[in-house]
Amino acid sequence: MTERLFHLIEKYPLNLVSHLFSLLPIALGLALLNCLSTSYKVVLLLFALYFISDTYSLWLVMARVSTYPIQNLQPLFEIGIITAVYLNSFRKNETGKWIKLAAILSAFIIVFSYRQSTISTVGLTTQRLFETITVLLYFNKILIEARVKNILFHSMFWLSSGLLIYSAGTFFFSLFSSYLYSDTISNEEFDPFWRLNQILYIIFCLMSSVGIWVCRYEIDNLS
Amino acid sequence: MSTNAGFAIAVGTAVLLIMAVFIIIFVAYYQQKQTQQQLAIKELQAQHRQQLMEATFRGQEEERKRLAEDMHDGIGTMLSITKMSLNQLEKQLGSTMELGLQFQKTRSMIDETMTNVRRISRNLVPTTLERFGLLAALEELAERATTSETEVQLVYSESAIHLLPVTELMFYRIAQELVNNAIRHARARHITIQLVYFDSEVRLSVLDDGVGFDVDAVMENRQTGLGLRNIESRLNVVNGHVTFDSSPGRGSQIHVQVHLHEVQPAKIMS
Repeated sequence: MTERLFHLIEKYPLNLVSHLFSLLPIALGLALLNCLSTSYKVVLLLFALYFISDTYSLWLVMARVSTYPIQNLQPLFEIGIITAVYLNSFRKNETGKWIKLAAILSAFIIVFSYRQSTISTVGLTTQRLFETITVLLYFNKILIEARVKNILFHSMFWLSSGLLIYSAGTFFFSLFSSYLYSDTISNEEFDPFWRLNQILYIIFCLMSSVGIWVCRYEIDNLS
Repeated sequence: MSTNAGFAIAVGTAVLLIMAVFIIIFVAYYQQKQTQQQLAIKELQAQHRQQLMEATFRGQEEERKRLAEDMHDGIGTMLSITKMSLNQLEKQLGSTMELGLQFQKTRSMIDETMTNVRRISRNLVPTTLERFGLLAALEELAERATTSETEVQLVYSESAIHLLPVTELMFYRIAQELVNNAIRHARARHITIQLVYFDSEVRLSVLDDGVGFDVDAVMENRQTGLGLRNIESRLNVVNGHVTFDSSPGRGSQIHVQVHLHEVQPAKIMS
């Protein structure tokens, strides 16, 4: 089993790096927990979910068991956490209701499109779509309200930017996931997309960590 | 088929990534622009408020001047004529003991009224300030405020800087207000007016041993804190600031500080 682990690390080193990068926002978040907003504390849960899910998937891969159930179920939890993060910002807003409604609808789609033995393209795509729309609505909100003095010191801007890059960048990966995960495609064709997926995830982790880092200036940054 | 699909995924991903990055840059840029605009608007509003205050104080001074002139030239002259007329009437009527006493009493009442008119008009427009400058005016203020119950002392640094007339008038009005407060409200026995010139700033302090006051409570009260807020408004015009150091039973120390480079002649004189 250990040999297989080393073989996997050798074959997909970026996987290990991205796996460990989930710990960066968690560690930073725990160190700066006092200055984190409620929304951002929930973000730590999201990265904890990623880390646990990646660790469990790795264990399943080593045991030569399919990881499709985890990959197909993960969007459901992700949508729940992302909704909780953004609902806090849209609390006194009509948009909040629409986000809640979209989250419920997306959850239903994910549940109904769930597959045990193959990748659930509909579920993954729905998740990316939901995240992209939520981030765009948030950007729209901060520009309309104009409460942020310097956006570079606004935690949620960094999280939203990271999430937008990740969900937009992996949208086509999700949309064509049934093709990419099919037996017909070779490793040479699959690997670049997989590596891009990992790189985008690392960018997401880094940008979210910047968001945690700037939380210390957040109080003075809102008018 | 597989090459086409791979190409479609790559192009689609690239397009979406470029769009995402563009949106992020746009949001950051637009927000910075928005912040700059808000700052500019706030600055304009502050400038407008400052100009309004300047105009208010200028109007106030002009009105005081007009009132002082009216009192001095109108009422003062009329009183002098009345006194002369009274003297002539006394001569014409001859001098009985009873009439003489009546004339004497009326004359002293006219004299007292004339003194009051002169005092009020001097308070309205400090002529000493206009003629001899701030130090002389403050000396006169200290001298006039000194009574058997209250001693007012002026302490100043040797090196005097020539200030703009408007700045001198502002300092004088603030000193007048503070000395008045110390006598009327704080019932102080010793009051010290300090005027210190530094290289680029002037500091006026009024210290007293009166009953003191709760600074926060007075400033919050719209009726009692009017004089102190007036001082703040005057200083806002020249970006100066005031520090109130007082508490009940401890006397008070009030320091006014103005940076000379903040006082732009053209701005104030216009």
